[in-house]
Amino acid sequence: MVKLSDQVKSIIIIASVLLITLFYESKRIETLAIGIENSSLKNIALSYSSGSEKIKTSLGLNTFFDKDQFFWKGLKKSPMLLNNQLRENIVDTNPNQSPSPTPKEILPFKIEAPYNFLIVGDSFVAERFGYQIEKELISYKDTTVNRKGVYSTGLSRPDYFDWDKEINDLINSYKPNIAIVMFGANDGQDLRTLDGKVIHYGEEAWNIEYSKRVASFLQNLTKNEVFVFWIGNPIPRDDYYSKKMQTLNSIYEDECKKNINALYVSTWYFLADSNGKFTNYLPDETGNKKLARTSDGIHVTVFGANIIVKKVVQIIMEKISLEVIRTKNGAGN
Amino acid sequence: MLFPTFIFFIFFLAVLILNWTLKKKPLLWRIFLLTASYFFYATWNLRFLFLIFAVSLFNFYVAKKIQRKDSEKERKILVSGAVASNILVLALFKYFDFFRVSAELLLSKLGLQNNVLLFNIILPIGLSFYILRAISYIIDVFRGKIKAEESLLDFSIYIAFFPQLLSGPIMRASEFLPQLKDGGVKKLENMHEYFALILGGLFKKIAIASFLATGIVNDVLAVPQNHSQLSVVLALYAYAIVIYCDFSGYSDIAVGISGLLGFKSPRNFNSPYSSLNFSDFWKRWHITFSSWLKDYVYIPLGGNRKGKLRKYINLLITMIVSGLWHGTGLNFIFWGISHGIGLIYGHIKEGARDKIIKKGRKFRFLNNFLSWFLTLNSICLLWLFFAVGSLEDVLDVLRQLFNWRASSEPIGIYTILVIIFSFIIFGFEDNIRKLFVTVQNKIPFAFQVLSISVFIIILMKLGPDIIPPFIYFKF
Repeated sequence: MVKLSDQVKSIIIIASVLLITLFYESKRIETLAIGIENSSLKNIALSYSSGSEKIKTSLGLNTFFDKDQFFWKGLKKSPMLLNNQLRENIVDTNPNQSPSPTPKEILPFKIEAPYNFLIVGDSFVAERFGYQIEKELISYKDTTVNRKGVYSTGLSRPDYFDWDKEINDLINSYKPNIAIVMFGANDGQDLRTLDGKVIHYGEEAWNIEYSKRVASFLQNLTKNEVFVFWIGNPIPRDDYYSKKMQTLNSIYEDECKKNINALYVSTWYFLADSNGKFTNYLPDETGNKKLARTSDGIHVTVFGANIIVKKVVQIIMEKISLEVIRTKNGAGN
Repeated sequence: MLFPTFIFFIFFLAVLILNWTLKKKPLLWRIFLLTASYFFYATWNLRFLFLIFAVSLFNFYVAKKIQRKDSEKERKILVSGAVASNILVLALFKYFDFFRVSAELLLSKLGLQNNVLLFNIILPIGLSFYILRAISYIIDVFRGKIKAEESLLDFSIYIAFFPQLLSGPIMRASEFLPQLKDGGVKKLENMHEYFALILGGLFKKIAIASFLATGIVNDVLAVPQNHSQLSVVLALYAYAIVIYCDFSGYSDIAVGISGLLGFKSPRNFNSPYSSLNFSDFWKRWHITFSSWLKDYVYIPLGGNRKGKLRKYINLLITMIVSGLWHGTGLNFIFWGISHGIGLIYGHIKEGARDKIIKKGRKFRFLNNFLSWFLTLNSICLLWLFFAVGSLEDVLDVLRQLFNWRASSEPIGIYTILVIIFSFIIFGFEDNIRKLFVTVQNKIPFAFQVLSISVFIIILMKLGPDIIPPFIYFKF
C-alpha cells in the first residue's frame, strides 16, 4: 500500500472539506447554478447539486440539511426566548399568491397607544440605523420596540432567507401594531420564482415580480392590523448602485401608495449635500462636518443614522402622537 | 476573503498544492508565496497593495542603511526616522478622522470655515499588524539582534505573509525569515496539530462567537435601554467570550494554515481567562502583541530598571499605547489606563501575596480563587470599552446595569448554557487538541478524512447563515 506523505494527506483533507461543504450547500448551489451563463459549468453545478440531493434523500437526511432546520436557529428560539402563543386573529397571507390589486378591501385603521413597534430589514436594520431608531423610539412613552435585522437579506432571495415566513413568526411573537421596514441594499439581483424560473435584474418582468413580493410583504403586515412605515434607501455613492436603489425605492413607494395602511418614507436626500448629491460628510448641529457614510458608500455611520432617524421619527409623529420620556433610565416599559 | 469561507478554502487548497510542489525550486516558491499573499490582500482592495509594497520597500532599504552606518548618532537618527515614518503611516490611515475632527473644531473656533479636510480615508485592513512587524524589524536590526535581510523578496513575504497578514500573530523577522531559506522545510510534520488548531479556531468563530454575537451581544450592548439588567450582565460576559473566540479563533486558524504550509508560528493565546492577575493576563492574551509592547515600548522607557515609581509610570504609558493602537476614542484610552492600573495593582499585591502563600495551602487556594474571580470580572467589565463605540455608550450600558427599575426580559436558556460551557472549555483547549491529535494519529487515514468532514458538517449546522466579520480586523 502506498504511504502518503502528510503534505498529500493535508491536501486530500482540505479537498474533502470543500466537497463536503458543496454537498451540504447543494440547494444553494442549484440556485446559483441557474444564474450561470456558461452552459457546461452550469451543467456540472446542476449535476453535482442534484446528485447531492439524491444522496441526501436516499440517506433520509433531507430534513437534517434543510436550512430552515438549522440547529443554530433552534438554539436561538430556545424555550424561554419567545412567547410562542399564537396571536388569535393572525391572518396568514400566502406569499405565493398575488396580492389583491384592490386595496379598498382593507380599511384604514387607527394606530393607538400602546405603540408596539416592530423594526425589520437588512443590514441597515441589523446595524446602526436599527440601533439608533430603536434607541429613539424607546425614549417615548407607551412604546415597546422589537427589532430584527438580518445581514445580506431582502425580498429577492427567499431561498436564502424567507422574510414572508419570518414576518409571520415575528407578528406571532411580538404582536406589533406598527412596523418599520427597510430593504433594498441586497435586492438588486436576479430573482428566482418558485417554479425555478430566473428573472434577470433590469428586465420589466423583474419589476413586476419584485413589486408583487413587496405588496405581499406589506399585506402580511397590514392584514394583521400592523401599520407600515416603509423606509426608502438613502442616496448611495456609486452611480451603478444609485440607479438600482432608485428603481427599488420607486417600487416601494408605488406599492405603499396602493396600500392604505402603509406609508413610504423617502430618505434619499436626508444624507445628500445641498445640491442633492452624495456626500460622505454632513454638518452637525454646530456646523462641523462629520462622517455620515461608511466606506462602502451605502451604509451609514452612527451620525448618519441619527440624521435619518430624527427625520423618520418626525414623519412617524405626524401619524401618531409620541410623548417624550426625558429620562435615560426609564427604559423597559 | 475571510478565513471561515468556502472561497478562502478553495484559494488555500490551490496554495497548498503549489506550495509543496514548488519547494524544490526555492526562488520560484518564494515568488509564488509573495504572489499568493498579494493576491489575497488585493481581494480586499487592490489599492492596498501599493501601500504594503511601499512599506516593505522603505523598511528594507532603511534597515540596510542602518546596518551599514558606523556612526551611532547616524544610526539613531535613521532608526528614529524610520520608526516615526511607520507610525506616521499608521496614524494617517488609522487616526485621520480623529485628527480631522479635532482640526475642524479648532478651525471653527478660530471662525474659519472648514471644508479643507474632507477626504474619505479608509484604513487598509491589516496595516496595524504589518506596521508593527516592520517596526520590530527595524529596531532589531538597529540593536544588532538580527542582520538586515539581503533579499527584498523574502522581506516582502515577511511583511505580507497571507495567513498572518490581517490579524497576526505578530511574528518577528528572526522567527520568520530563517524559515524561508533554501525552500524552507521539505516535509510537513505534525499535520494533525495544525488541523486541530484550524478546526478549533473555526469552532470558536463559527459556533460560539457568531452565536453569541448575533444572539445577545450586538443587540443588548447597542441598545441597553431596551433590555433587562440580567441581559446586560450576560451580554458583558458573552462579549468577553466573543472577543476571545473571535480573535483567538482567527489566530489559531492563522497558525494552523501557516503550519500546513510548513511555517512554525508563535503561540498567541494561552487560556487568558484563567489568569490570576492582569500581569498574568497579558502573558496569555495576544502574546505576540504584549511581547512586542514589552520589547519596543516598555523596555525602551526604562522598564523596571529605574525604581518602582518609574516602573509603574512605564506600565501605564505602555498600556495607553496599547489602547491607542486599538483606536483613538477616549474609550480605548480609558481601557488602556484601566489595564495599566490593573497591572500596577498586581505588582503592588505581589509582595502581599508572598506573605499569604507562606500561611499555607488553604490560604493559597482561597487567595488564588479570589484573585482569579476579581481578575476575570474586571477584564470582562473592561471589555465594555471595546464593545461599544464611545464613552457615552459605555455610560448607557452602565446605567442600565444599575437600573433597578428595568423590567425583566425572557432570555434563551441556551444562551446561558453556551456562556457557561464556553468559560469551562476555555480551560481545556490544549487537552482537547491533544486528544484530537492522539485519536487522529491512531485511526486509518480514511477515518481521519471522515471524522474531519463530519466535524465540518456539524460546524455548518451550528453556524449562522452569515458569519460576522472578525472584530480585530477593525484595529
